[in-house]
Amino acid sequence: MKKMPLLAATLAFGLTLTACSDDGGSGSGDGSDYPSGPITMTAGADPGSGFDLTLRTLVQVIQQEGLVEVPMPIENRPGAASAVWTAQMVEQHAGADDQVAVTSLVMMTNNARGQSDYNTDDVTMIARLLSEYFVVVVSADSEYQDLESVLNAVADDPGAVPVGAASDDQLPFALLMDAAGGDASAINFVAYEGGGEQSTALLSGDIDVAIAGTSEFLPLIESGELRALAVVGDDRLEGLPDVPTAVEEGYDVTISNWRGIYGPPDMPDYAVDYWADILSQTVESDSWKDAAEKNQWVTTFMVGDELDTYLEETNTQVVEAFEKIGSQ
Amino acid sequence: MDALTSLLQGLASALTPTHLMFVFVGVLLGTIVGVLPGLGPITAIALLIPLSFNLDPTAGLILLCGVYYGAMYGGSITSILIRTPGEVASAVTALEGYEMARRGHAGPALATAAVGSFIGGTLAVIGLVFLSPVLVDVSTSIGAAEYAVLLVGALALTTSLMTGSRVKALISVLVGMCIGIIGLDPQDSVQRWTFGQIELSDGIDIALLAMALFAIPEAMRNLSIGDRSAPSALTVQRAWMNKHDLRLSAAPYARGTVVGFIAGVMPGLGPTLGSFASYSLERRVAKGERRRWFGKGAIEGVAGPETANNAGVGGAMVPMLALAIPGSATTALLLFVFQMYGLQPGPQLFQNDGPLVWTIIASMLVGNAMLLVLNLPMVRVFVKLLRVPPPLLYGGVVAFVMLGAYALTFSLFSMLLLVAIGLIGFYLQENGFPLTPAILAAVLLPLLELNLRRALLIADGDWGTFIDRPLSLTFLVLIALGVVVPMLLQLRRRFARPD
Repeated sequence: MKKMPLLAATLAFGLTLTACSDDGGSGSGDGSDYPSGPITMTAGADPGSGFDLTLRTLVQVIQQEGLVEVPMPIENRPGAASAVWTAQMVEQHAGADDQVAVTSLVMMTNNARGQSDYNTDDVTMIARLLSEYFVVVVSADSEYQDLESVLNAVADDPGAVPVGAASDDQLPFALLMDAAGGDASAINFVAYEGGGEQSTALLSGDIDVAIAGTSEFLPLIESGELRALAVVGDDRLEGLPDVPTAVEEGYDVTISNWRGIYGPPDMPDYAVDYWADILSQTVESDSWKDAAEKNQWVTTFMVGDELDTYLEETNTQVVEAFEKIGSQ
Repeated sequence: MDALTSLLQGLASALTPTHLMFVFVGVLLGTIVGVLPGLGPITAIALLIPLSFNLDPTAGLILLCGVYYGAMYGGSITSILIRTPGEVASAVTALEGYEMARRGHAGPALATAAVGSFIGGTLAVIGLVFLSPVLVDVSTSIGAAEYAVLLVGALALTTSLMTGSRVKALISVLVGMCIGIIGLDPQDSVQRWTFGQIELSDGIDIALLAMALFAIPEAMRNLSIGDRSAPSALTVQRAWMNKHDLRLSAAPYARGTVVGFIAGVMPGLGPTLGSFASYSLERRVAKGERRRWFGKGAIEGVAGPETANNAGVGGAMVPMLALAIPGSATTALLLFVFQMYGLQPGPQLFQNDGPLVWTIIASMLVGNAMLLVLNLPMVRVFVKLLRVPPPLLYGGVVAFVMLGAYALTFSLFSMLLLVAIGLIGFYLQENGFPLTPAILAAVLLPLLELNLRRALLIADGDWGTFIDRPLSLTFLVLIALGVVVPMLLQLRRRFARPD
């Protein structure tokens, strides 16, 4: 029967895809031989997304450097801006030592907007890896030459200056508006799904201004199709040395999109310590530095108490910002 | 011709034994994942990424691009044979293709799909080479208002898909709309009809919907008949296209290439919409006796969409390579692979990495030819699938799509959703409701809502934006001419003949 090869192929594929998804602890109870089995690395988003890119880069560097001997299968579990996977981690993997996932500022904004029941303190946060600065861009032929003129124009007549931003990236622009003394709740945000759509809309003249993570716009900034007005972050970016920070321009906003690694709630201490150690070695390696430079990531590695304090402060900032935007 | 010289150099590089092998492996894998429902090119590319980083960039990208367009070939096979679309862009092929198979014309259907895919894929690569600069300008001059108007046009075209009872077709559209509404509101992220289920907040995957509304009802119908021998309608009469088939397919090939390529170039549309649009178009332009064949196995309805979805892949490469703007999830992933290799798609790509890009483009020509050679002899093999007794065959189909649904999100939830929607689909089909309008509504209406609301936000609530923008006005006039005028003519004819 000619159906057999098809069925066999289906089965083989199915098995490959699901083989790594069963939930079993690896290593013995005290963790002395941890890790002894595969560690599932999950991105709660589609292949090709920012989450996916971060995780694949990380795993690739770890393997290149030979830091972890056991297999690290990567899984994509997209859904609800990563909230589906966060819920799975909390509800089904509590206490496991073989589940590691990537997250970002989105975990906080999801929670603040009521899209997710869980936040950073409901899981075991292991480390912050990097920060991606937000950048405010206009098209090359735009009348706006600096951040101030954009913010003034938006404040004067919000309806006439639509601002393109993914729903999670509206936060930093609202904070900028607030710092400029304007009404953040009046901004005419047009939602886009990421930099590709925003770039198209900027080039077609649909929108005048857009904000997103720097890597989303980098190719078109470098080719001169888009003009970066300011980055939101502590220092200027090495890859965009001529672009001032928002603080330099007089707006005290530094919130950036942190990306980090977490495990399920009640992850055993030996596993947390192991990964904190591995990740600290990873970000020191040359291959990580190369990858970070290419993507305009600022490595802002942080673990332990320092991380907890940072997360707590950022959370407060996020909640306050959403109160100012008023909606959602 | 500068582009021609570069392309020929690329071809020379693509024809080296190593690169040929990667093209072959890519298109073969692509065909396989295309056949498997739920497993689209995006999953396959994601699985191959770790492997491809051990290859040099040229070989890796040749392989992954091969998977992408290979999947478009594979998707049609199961659509035609068992009404189970292997991937979304092939869903529309099931409409006429499966009817052809039921009439014993599975062979010609598969053959025209393979030839159409080859023509669409090849011409799209040529379009990519010579028309890129122009197309980039076009794709960036189209804004949300224009997309909204175009989608209204696409919806108007779909009214021609409604056969039989108007009321039942409209109810089917309503079902599709309701399914399309599920999920987060695209502007304000408000939950709509998600019943507190976090899994529903991204809406229902069109691939899952296509499986639930096409494969499940058909499998259930066949299983509920209780006839254990293969029905005579399924025995294969011809394994190959005759002259008549070829003549009927020629024009759809041409139209499908144009429609598919243009839809692929538009970052907001993509290959899926191209194949749907091509089907509507074919149905619309069919004349006289041919028109009556639609819904009963018209070969034009296979040739057009299958050409369009492959042309769409070439089209989608245009904004990805030239502007680093991905038009679909699959091109977004390919973009990521380029970047991981240290290549930056965008205006400078052809200057910085010319030889490599030309090799990849040329490999797409080679791959398309290879797929044709691979697929045509396989037609004879594939049609034998229909000799499997229905209980075994359709039992297999159900297992097959259940696995596919699971593979979409790796959760039981998708499987339950598939069963639930599949049962609704079975009920509707058994009671004479056409299901195609439901799928079209579920694809088109969310896109229309997205662009309409964007256009209105951008214009600060002013509906005049659709008339003020020259391009949008042009589209509106064209749609009016294409839809309203034929309707008026029909009315006049009715009044002219008072019988």
